[in-house]
Amino acid sequence: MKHNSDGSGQPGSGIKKGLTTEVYLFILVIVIMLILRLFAADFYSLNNVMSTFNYFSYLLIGAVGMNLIIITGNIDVSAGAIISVVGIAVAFVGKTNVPFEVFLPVGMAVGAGLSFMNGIFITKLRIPSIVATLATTQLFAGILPLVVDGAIYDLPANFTWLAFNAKLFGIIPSSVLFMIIIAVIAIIFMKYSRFAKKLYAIGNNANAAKLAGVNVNKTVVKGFVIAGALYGVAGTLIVTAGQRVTMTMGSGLEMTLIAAVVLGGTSIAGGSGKIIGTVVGAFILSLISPAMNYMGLSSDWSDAVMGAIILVSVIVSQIAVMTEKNKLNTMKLNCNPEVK
Amino acid sequence: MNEILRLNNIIKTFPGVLALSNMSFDLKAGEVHAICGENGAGKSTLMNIVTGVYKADSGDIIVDEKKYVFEKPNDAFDLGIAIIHQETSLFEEMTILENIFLGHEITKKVAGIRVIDYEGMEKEAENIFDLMNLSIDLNVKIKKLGMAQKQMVEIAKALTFNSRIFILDEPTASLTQREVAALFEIVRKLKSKGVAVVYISHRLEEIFELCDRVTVVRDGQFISCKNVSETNKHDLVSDMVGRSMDNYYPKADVKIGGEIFKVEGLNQRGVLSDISFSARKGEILGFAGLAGAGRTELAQAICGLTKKDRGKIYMNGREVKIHHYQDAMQSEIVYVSEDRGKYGLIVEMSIKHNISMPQLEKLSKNSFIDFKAEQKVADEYIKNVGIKAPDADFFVENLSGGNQQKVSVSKALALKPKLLILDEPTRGVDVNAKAEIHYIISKLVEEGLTIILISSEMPELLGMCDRIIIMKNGKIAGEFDRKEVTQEKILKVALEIE
Repeated sequence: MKHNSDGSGQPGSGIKKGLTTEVYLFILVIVIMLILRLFAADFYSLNNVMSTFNYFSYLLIGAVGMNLIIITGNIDVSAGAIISVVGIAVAFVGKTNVPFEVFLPVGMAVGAGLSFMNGIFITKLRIPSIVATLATTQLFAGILPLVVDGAIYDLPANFTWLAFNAKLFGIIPSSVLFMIIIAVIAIIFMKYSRFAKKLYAIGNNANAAKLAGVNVNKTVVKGFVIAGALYGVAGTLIVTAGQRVTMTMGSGLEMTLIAAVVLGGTSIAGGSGKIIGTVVGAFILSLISPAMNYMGLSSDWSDAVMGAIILVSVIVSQIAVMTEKNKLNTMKLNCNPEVK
Repeated sequence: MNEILRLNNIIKTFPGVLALSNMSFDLKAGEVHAICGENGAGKSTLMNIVTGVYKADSGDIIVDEKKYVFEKPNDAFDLGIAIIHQETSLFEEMTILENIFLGHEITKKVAGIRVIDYEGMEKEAENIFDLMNLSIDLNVKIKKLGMAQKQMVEIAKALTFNSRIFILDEPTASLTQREVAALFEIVRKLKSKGVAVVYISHRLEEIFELCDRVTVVRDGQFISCKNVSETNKHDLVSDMVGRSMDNYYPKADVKIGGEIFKVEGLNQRGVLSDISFSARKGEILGFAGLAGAGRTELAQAICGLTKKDRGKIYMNGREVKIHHYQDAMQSEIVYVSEDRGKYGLIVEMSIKHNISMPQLEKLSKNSFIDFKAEQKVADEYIKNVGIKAPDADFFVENLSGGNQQKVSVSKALALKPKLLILDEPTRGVDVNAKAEIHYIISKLVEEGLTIILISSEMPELLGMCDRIIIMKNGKIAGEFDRKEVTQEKILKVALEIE
C-alpha cells in the first residue's frame, strides 16, 4: 500500500514516527511487568490477573469513548458522573427484577442520553467543552442524592450475573470479552469509516472541515453519543460487580480515562491519536494500582505513581514533537516530488 | 476555445470603501489568464467574488453562458471553480491521501457495510499525480510537507472534484526555481486538458513565460486585457500605474537635519539580505515595495520583534543593541504595526488603557497606577490627535478604523520616540481620517520627529516622503529622492524591470 517515494530526505516517514510512540509504551509495559515479576511474583496469581483484566476492560471501554471526544479537540470531564448515573439507573432497573439482558441496553441508553446533552451544549450553545462538561459533572452527580437515599442494596441475585457467572471457560470475566469486541470494532472503525475521518478533520481544523463539507456540529454530537454509549457499557460492567450500588461509583474515573488516552499518544489538542495507543495506555494504568498493592506499597502512593508515569510519558512525547518540529523548520523542505 | 467564465460590470463596496467598480473579466477554457495589479488594486476582492466568498453588489457572473448568483463558497465550488491559496486549508495531522479525499471518500461494500476503499482512492490519486507528473508518497502527513508540496496536494484535491477553473493566488511566492518549473509543467498539463487557469502574480517574467492573456486592474477597475504576445513589461507597468499625479497631501517644508538613525548590514536568514540605510532628523523616509518584499519584516527585525542574524543599528551615532522590543523603546524607536487588531491594540480595552499600556511604569507610583496621570495623558492625545470618541473610557473596538489607527499612533507617540516606524498607517481607513493622519504625520516631523513610512499606496508615498526606498525580495532595490521620483519609477524598480 505504501508508495515508493523518491527517498524524500524526510527525517522519517509517518509510519516510523507512529512506531516510536507505541514502541516506547510497549517497552514501558514490559518494564512494569518485569518489575512485578521480580518484586511481587504473586501478582501473577490467576485471581489477581483476572481481576486486573476486569479493571482494564471497563477502563479501556470508557477510554475508547473518551478518545473519540478528544480527537475532535474537545474534552469530557463528566464521564465519571455519567457512569455514576448509569450505575444508579441500572440498579433501579435491577430492583424491578427484570432479566439481566436488559441491563446493558439501559446503561448504554442512559450514557448516550447524558452525553448527547453534553454534545448539544457544546455545539448548539457553543460552550467550550471544558466549561460545559464541568457544569454537567455537577448537574449529573447532583441529581443522584435527590432520587436515591444513600445507596441501593438488596439487589436480586441475577444482578451480578455478568460479573460472577458469565465467565469464559469458567475463569475469564465477560467484561474482557466485551472489551475485546469493542476494541477490535473501534480499531477497524477508526480506519475504515468516513465518520472517523470527519472526527480527525474537525480536531485538526474545524473551519477547513466545514469548507470540506463536514457537518461539524452533527458529527461532534454523534461522537459524544457514541462515547456516552461506551461509558454506559463500562458503567454497567462496574455496577453489576456487587450487590450494593453507591452514588459515587464513577467519581473521578474521567481522570483515569483521559490519562489512558493521553498516555496512549493521543494529542489533547485533537486531530490525531490511535485506538491501539489507548489500549496500551489503559493497560499500563490498570496495572499500577494492583501492582502497588502487591508490592507492599501503600495505595496512597498509587495516585502519585500514576501521575508521575503520565507526566514523564507526556514530557517524552512532547520532546519528540518539538525535536521533530525543529528538524522540519531548519531543514529546507526541498524534497521535491520527483518530476518524471 | 470556449468562454467558460465572464464577469460583467461587477461593483462591490464595503463600508466606506468602493472596492470594485466597472470590473469585467472573461476566461476561456484551456487558457492561462494572468491578473496583474498593484497591492490593493482589487485582485483579492475580485477572486473572492468569483469563488463566492463575497457577494457582488451588482453585475453578472456568467459560467458556461448561464448567469449565476453565488451566495456561499460552495455555490462556486459546485460549478468547478477552485482556488489555491497561499495559506492552505489542509489537515496537518492527516495524510496526503486522506486530505485529498476528505468529505468525499471512495467507498466499497464489505459484508454489507460501507467502508473506505483505500485501494480505490490510491488508484485515483495515482492517476491524478501521474497527470501532474509527480511521484509522491501518499501516506505522509501534511505537516511534513513544504509549501510547494502542499500546493501540489491542494491542486490534486481540486482535481478530485473535477474542477475546471483553477485560480492560483501568488503561487510562486514561496517556491524555489525548481519548484516553480514543476508548477508550470502542471499548469501546462491542466491547460491541455481544457482546464482554465487564472494566474494572479506580480512576477511579470512568469506571466510572460506561462500565460496567454493578461488583465490589468487598478483601483478596483478593469483597465485592460491583452494577449501576452502583443504586449510587454513596460506596457503593463504603464497600465498598472496610469493615474494622474495630483498633489493629494500637503507636505510642509521641514528643515531636515543630520543623520539620526542608521542600519548596517542587517540580515535575517531567508528573509532579509544585507540591508543598510540611514534616516535623518525631521525626514519622512518611505518604504515601497510589493507584498512580500520584506518591509514589515525589516521593521520588526529592527525593533527586536523578530531575531536578526546580523546587523548593527545606530541611534544618534551610537550603536544600540536591540534584542527585544523593550530595547527599541528604550532607544526611542517605536513601531506601529499594520495589523491594528493583532499587534497594535487591545480592542476590548478602553482608549485610555491602550494608550497607557506601554508606559505603565512611568505612570505608576509604588506599583500602583496613577489613574489621574493616565487620564491626563489620554485626554491630551485625544485632543491633539483628534480621536473622535465620547471620552477616554470608550472601548477601542467600537471605534471606526480611522480612529483606531489614531489610538494606535497615540499609543506610540505617548512614549515620545525619536524615530517612529509606521507600517501601513492608513490601510483600511476612510478618506477623511486618512487626511487627518497625514496631517498628524506632517506635524510630527515639524516637531523634530523622524518617521519611517511603510506604505503600499503610491500617492501617499509620493505625497508625504522626502526619500523613498524600494524593497524587493528582502533586499533594497532602489532609492529615490522626492524631487525625482514618479510612480512608474517606483513600480519598475519594485518589479525589477530594466
